[in-house]
Amino acid sequence: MKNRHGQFRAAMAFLAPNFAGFLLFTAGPVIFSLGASFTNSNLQQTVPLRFNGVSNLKELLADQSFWLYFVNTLYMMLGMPFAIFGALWLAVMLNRKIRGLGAYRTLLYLPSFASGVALMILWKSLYNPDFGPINEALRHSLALLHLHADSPQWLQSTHSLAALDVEKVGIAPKQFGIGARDALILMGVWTAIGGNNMLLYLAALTNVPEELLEAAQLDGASPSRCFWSVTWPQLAPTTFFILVMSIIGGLQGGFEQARIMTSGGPAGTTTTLAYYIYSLAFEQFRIGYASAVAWVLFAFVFVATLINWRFGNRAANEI
Amino acid sequence: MRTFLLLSIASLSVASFVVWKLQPPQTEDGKIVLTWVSDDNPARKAQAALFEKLHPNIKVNIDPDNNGVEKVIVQCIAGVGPDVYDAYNGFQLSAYVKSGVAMDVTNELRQHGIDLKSQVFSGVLPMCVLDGRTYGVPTNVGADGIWYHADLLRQAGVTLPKGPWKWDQFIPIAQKLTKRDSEGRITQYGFMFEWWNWRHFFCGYGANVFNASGTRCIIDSPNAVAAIQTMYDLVYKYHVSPTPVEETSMAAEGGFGSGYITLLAAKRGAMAVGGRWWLEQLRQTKGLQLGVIESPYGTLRESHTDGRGMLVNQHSNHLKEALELQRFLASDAYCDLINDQADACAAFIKADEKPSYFFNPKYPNERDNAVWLQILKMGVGDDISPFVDSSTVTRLIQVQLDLVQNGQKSPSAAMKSAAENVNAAIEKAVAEDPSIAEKYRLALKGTPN
Repeated sequence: MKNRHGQFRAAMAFLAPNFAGFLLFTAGPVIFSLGASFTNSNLQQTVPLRFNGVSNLKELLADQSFWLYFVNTLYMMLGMPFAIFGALWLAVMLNRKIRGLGAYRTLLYLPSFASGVALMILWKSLYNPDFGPINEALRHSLALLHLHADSPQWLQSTHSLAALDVEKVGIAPKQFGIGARDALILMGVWTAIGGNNMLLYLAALTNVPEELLEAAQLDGASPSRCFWSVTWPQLAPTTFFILVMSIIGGLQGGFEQARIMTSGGPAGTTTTLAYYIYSLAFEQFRIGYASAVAWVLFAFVFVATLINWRFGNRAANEI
Repeated sequence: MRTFLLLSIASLSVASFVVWKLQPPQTEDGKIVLTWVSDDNPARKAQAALFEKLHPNIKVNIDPDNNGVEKVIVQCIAGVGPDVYDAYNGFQLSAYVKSGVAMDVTNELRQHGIDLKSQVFSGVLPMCVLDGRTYGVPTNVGADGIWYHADLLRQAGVTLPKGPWKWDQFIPIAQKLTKRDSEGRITQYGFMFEWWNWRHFFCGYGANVFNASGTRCIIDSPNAVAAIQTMYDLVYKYHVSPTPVEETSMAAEGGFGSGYITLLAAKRGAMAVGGRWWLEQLRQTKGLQLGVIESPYGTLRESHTDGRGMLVNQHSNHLKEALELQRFLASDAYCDLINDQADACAAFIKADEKPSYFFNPKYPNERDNAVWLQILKMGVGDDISPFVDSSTVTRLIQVQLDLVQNGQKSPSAAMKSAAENVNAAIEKAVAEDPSIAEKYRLALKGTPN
């Protein structure tokens, strides 16, 4: 008994620094922001602090910018399925016994441990409308096909493939085209495809029982049949985990890209909720309102995760 | 287990001690270290070095990494802010003052015989003075003129007028100087300007963002629309200036001095809007035959003044030394250095009237300093509203300018939206901040709208 008490104390002592850090740097600010979201807290001292109940929430509901940036956030998450299936495809390819496997795995994982800022600057150059290699390749391809079309203006354009309006939530046909949002989606898919998701799938693939695959092959199942009827169901928990994490990441994402590549423009088209929160708090100094937006974003994330958990988890278990 | 725990604590303590010993010293050789948040202009180092030479007990560290209003305010409030920092416009000064991080130095300066209103160019006052109180001392002052390549003009057989000129005189010249290759791609722009510099065009049309009392945004006024229309026409109607896509294609990632300065030096444009501070970079390219002329105007012969005001963090641990550094900006030694470096112009008028300003033997080809002085004399500063924060205004205007620049919206429609949005922001700010509500009510009474 005495020994167990000693062990408990030692465990607590080991945990204490981490717990203190958590209280100070995570729980503390979270509680502060929850409190601040019901006030008009402002970094400008001329605004006296006062409790204003749910008026931040009311303002948010009528805030055109909030809804525009929410739509931007959702739109930029459209690359998620491509990133997930791309990661799965790469993992399947890398799970084969081929020469130079280690080199391929390293190369494909490279973007994940390369500096994000450096990658974004690189992509900015790739998207250069006149001299960028993407548009050069497009121009040459179109010329070979004897087609005449303008190359996309990428980060300079307010267009989007969904023809999203720029100044209000809705569709505006004149905004149809490839624009800054699509450029960021494409970059996001490229970054995510060979990243942690690929590693998770690789790990999950090594856990698929060989005997199940052999039994299916003995029964005459084709490789694709083997994949969809044996491997894919075994990957369901991993897919579920990746999906949940991607949705959470997607709803909270877009800050770095906006900050480094576009400053949220042109005309706010690449501003996501995360960047809007930063702008409200540290450029407009409206800490209270920014906290309210942050908590509403948390609510969106929470609800999305609950829905995932409720339906996705069940689906994963049923496969 | 206990031994392991004790060992862990001991090693952590040793590591902490080592880190504590390794931290940068607060003082160097007994010197007091001041942190100055400014931009990454290399000229800043020589300016700090001059102060250090005159004040051997003080060391000045320049910190360009934290140069941002939000960073300075948050750090100052948290108690880890710089000792001095720069405000680049009236918008920023207002944000610093309202956040309570800028020290009121009105009395301090008066005691030392520094009177900004009579000693510096009026265009730089908005970066230093707010509501009659002085917070900053100007580090320098600049106003934009038109840089031109004299050799390119000669080749094109173009002569520029001697006196003031208007945009309609300017456009045919810019067209003549715009060169294309066999595929129709522009190889040399007649004229280059940056869209963020919209205030330059505003001044030439006598346009304002706010009415005199700051109670209403009037960026949709005919003059303001005409200014934006001129910018738009230079790009899309006359095709003498780069479109946003062309601008991006030419742009390079880089620090201080990148952008249109390097493009002018590379002769990608025959003329460009820019200030005397461009010389810092242009001096590095040998053989350029550059000249300067005052900018064309629309309806009013005025130019937009910019510059920086150095402010003191009122939570600084070294207030005495920080104030000393701020006052140093008014000294002859500092002002002469600014003029010699061509870090724009010295803000104190007396320094710009010395013969050494008009002719610097180190740079005998620079004969346009009198033109810069003439432009500065026509300078006007930013107009700001005390009733709305600067970054909100900038963001709301920028969104609309992006739409104009991309050809998505006409200048008049965009400016109408910008005015509506800024006025809505004013109403919201007044409703939220009782300290300005009363002031706003009084201002409304006294202002014909």
